[in-house]
Amino acid sequence: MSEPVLLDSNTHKNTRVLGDARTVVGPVSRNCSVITQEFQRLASHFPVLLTKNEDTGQFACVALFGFDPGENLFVEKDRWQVGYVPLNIRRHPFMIGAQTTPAGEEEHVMLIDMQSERISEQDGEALFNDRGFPTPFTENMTSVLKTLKDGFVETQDFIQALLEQEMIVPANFEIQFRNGERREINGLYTISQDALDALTPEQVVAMHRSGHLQAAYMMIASLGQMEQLIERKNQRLGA
Amino acid sequence: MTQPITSVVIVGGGTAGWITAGTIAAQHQSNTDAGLRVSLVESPDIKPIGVGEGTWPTMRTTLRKMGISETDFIRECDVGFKQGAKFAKWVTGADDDFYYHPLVLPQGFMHGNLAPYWQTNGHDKSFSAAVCYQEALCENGLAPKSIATPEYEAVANYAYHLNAGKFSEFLKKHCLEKLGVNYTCDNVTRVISKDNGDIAAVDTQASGEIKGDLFIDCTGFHGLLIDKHYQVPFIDKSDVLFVDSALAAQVPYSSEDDPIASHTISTGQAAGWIWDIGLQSRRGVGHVYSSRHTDEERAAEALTRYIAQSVGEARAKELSFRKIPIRPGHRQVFWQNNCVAVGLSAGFLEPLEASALVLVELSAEMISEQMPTCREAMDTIAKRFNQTFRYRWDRIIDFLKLHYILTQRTDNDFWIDNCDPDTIPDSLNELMALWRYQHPWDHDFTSRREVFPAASYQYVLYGMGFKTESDHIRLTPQERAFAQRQLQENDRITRMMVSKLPSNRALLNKVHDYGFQKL
Repeated sequence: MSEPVLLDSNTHKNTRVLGDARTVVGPVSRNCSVITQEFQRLASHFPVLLTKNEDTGQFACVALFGFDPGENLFVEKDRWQVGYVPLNIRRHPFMIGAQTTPAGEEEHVMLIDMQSERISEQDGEALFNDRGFPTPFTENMTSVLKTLKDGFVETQDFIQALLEQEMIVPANFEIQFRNGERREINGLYTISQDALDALTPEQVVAMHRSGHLQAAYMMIASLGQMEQLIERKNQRLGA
Repeated sequence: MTQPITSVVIVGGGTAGWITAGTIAAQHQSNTDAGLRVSLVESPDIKPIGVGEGTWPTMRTTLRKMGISETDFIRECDVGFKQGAKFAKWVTGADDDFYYHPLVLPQGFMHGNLAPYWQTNGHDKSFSAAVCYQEALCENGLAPKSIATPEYEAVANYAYHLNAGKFSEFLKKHCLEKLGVNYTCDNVTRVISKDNGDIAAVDTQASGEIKGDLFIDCTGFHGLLIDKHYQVPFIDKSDVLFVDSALAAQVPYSSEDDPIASHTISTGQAAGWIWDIGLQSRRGVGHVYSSRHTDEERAAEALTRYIAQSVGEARAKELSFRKIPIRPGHRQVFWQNNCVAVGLSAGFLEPLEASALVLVELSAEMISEQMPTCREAMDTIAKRFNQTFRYRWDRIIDFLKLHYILTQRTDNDFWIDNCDPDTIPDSLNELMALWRYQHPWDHDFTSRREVFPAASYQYVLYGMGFKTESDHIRLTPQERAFAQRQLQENDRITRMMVSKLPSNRALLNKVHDYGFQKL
């Protein structure tokens, strides 16, 4: 189990990070949490859906990479082979933590997973320069983490609005791959086109202003990527 | 000129009053101008008795139809999940003597009867464990669903344990804020009659007359309308069901992490039995007994001993018990003129199968669904209601009695007397005679009004060691193969569920932290 530690210019002055955003590390997952700000780019590559966190039952937006647990059809030879890699993947080996200041306030801090396969002391991107300032690499990562932190809050607002208007519906897929194998995919949800069509003009304006309307349509449009995903699976199956 | 029914008056709050008010108001849109007017008058001086802290799975539908969020209900009414009942010490009285009446039907029940095959082949497991996965969930302290399961939906069929006092308050708030129920807090002083014997209005101390077209008596044991006013006779059933007294206690958990049982535990005693139900913040434990076979002092001793097993003698002795008299039986009719009795005013039976609240729900449902449009239609519906509920009370009495007549206990006359054929209703004797030769099945229970399915009878009969004579059992190869498949499937599902479901307490904590989704 990896235990991320607080990123610190002194402790990590010699730490380097190998590879780039397309390097795959750790266990591969069939989906990852995404934020509304990246829906537009995601929708050209992945189906974007809703699913429930098994631990909390709360909805999250996810990009789908495969059909079986641990299956990622966009990864080959330990590299992401796709035009856009979600921010929540690109952030590795960094993550956001929260700590309480001496004044009792909660503040967000940057953590690093020192057990990650991308950590090195010899090669890769340095995190701090000789004077102890963050390198452009680290600054870029800080900005990715900040985008994610704010994005997850906004995405939760989006989900909450969908729930309140009862616009979420189950998206169950019955897939037959070319080798004849059948698969039922449950536990995924999307936005009801009927619910969108039934919005009043006032609701449409409100949703447009909050940015939720665009996100909703992106999500529906991304379902077209399901066929591409099935095609990738068919190729893997050699069918 | 016909007299339309536009206004329903419910006398008495408590769980019966508010379930009835909520059910009718929700269906008949009382929160709109065009809807039926539903009013409830409740005495400020009379505290509800709060029976029935256990429900049936029907409560999920009842609450959903009222537009209640399951998350709010669980958070506010101290609710725990209930997956059936465990009957301990009912057969031999030994420490390892128990059987389950789970809420999930036997595997493949819609397609075939597993009892004959189980009886002739499957004796390495109890009947309920062989045909149903729920006993394993209960024995492992597991919840019937996960936090990712939508509200009111089940992985394993479930009901609730709840705090009846909090439940009344919760329903009242919902009825007043969301469903448009009119509320008067006052004492009813007299009943004002019409020439035809109908109730025209009830008069109150300070709020004047409350007029209505249909009156519902939810005044509990007081029976203000059905008993005091109409004097409808009470049919006493103490010759069948001997329990006539209860001692109730509230038992705190010893720590915040104590497991919460997800089933009702009913433990046989010398002259009665002890109920034990797990709420979130405490357990409700009580001893129902027959005062003809023991006395209050000995019953209190037995209850203290039982509680001491889990919390220690010192803490058990500190608890105070509340005594509740029980008069088993029911009204001769429940709907008289334009008045229906719902809840304890209609009758009461020992809480062995949590029949109190389900009868309230069924009554409220039938009144609401068959609400007479005018007075002229009422007598026909009243007659139908009386037939239906008389049938239901009789079947419940039969089913409760069934739990007693298969005992092998002889340590007290309570158990011996219970097996006396003269105390067994003819209808039950007839079924027992049939089941000596063939296993209970759906055609034994053909009525739409049925409360307990054949599965419930199977669980109790075979749980208590009843033997259907197997000489004439002939299973076709197809039936045999079907049964084998179902038992294997049950094994597989049991293993999967036990590995996947969270503990009952863990799920309740998550409901507090996150709540269920609506889908």
